[in-house]
Amino acid sequence: MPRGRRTDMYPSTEDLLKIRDSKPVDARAFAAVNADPELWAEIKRLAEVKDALQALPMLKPPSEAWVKIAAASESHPVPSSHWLLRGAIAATAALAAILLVMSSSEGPQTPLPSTTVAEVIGPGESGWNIARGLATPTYTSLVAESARLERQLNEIGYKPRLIRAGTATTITGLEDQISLIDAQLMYSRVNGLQPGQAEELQRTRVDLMNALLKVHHAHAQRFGF
Amino acid sequence: METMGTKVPEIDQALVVNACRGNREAHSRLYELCAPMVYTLARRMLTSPAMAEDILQETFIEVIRKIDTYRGDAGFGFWVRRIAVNKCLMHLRSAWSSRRVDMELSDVVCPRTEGKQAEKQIILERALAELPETSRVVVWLHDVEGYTHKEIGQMMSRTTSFSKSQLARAHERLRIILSGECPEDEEQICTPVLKTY
Repeated sequence: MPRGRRTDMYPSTEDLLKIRDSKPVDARAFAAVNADPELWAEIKRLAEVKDALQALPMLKPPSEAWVKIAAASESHPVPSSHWLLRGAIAATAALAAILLVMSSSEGPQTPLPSTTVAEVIGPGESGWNIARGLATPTYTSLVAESARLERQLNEIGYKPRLIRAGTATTITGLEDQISLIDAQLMYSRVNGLQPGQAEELQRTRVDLMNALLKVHHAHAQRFGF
Repeated sequence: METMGTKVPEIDQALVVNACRGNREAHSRLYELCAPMVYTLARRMLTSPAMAEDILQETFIEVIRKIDTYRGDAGFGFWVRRIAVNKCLMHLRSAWSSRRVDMELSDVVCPRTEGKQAEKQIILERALAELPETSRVVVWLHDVEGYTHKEIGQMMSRTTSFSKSQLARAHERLRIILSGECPEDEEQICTPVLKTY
């Protein structure tokens, strides 16, 4: 805001913006502006900022966005990846907290075999290639597959009444890795990753999503939720 | 309403009719025409690329699902833009958005702008991103999208005066950031711009 008080009625930034936008303004404020070249200069500057904001370039949307939208709009509502993962992580954290309370109150239990991320994915195994039998899926098909898996995951929901700590850890681990991949994909547009690298990240994401689904399916079968 | 900033595309009525009938190609074409507007709007208002992508997806899923509710009162592009603005405001109200800081601005400059013009745009982008969320949203909706204070107040469930005062605050802060003036109590506002440039 301009400094210095030259008249009894010193116009506020709101007054200056009204004059800039040719809107009605208090007569005394207008008189004060008329008497002060600095205030006119400030109005000119405000107009220049507005022009500059309007001149900012349009941004190109991510190339794979339509694939996800088309996939989601064909069926029922599907939360986008980021929200799904946020929800998943929040749900897992809540479950972990519940389990902690339950385990401390129930005392020792018969240990169940735990599941690890490595066991779910398997050494050197590509869940996508095995499940789909495709040697070199394209980036677009990988994105579509990711969306399909997210849809399935969403259908299962996060509603288990009881979950083993080992399973919870596995789920959290998988979700953390998926979040990491998402972050890498997000920044890949800026960092200029090669198409092959982005495809590899998408492939890994599909594998992790498959693994996450397996864990949830296994848990659902065991506990029947 | 004025058409400024994120250019609202003109959509052929026949295309909208086809889209209403569930024609997938028409949906795809509508997306092609409107996606840059929606994505740009979301990036400017929310700054986060990930959130902007969420908005893009949510907006078009809603557009496709609710296209039969479009009554043709305003241009189709304006209808889409209103959905996108509402989605952005909903995100800003959510608990998640307040914790999101994954802003990155490297991809904001149009490839055709070079030199000083590009530099000015980057500085302005960064200054805009440094504004408090509410001020940023108001200055964008008013100065760029051409919404009135009354409309902004209604969309944000606030008063017209609230919108006016937020616009004034936004410009006061922008002036400080862009001029490089750095009062001690506002050092955190200015530092990112001054450090880089």
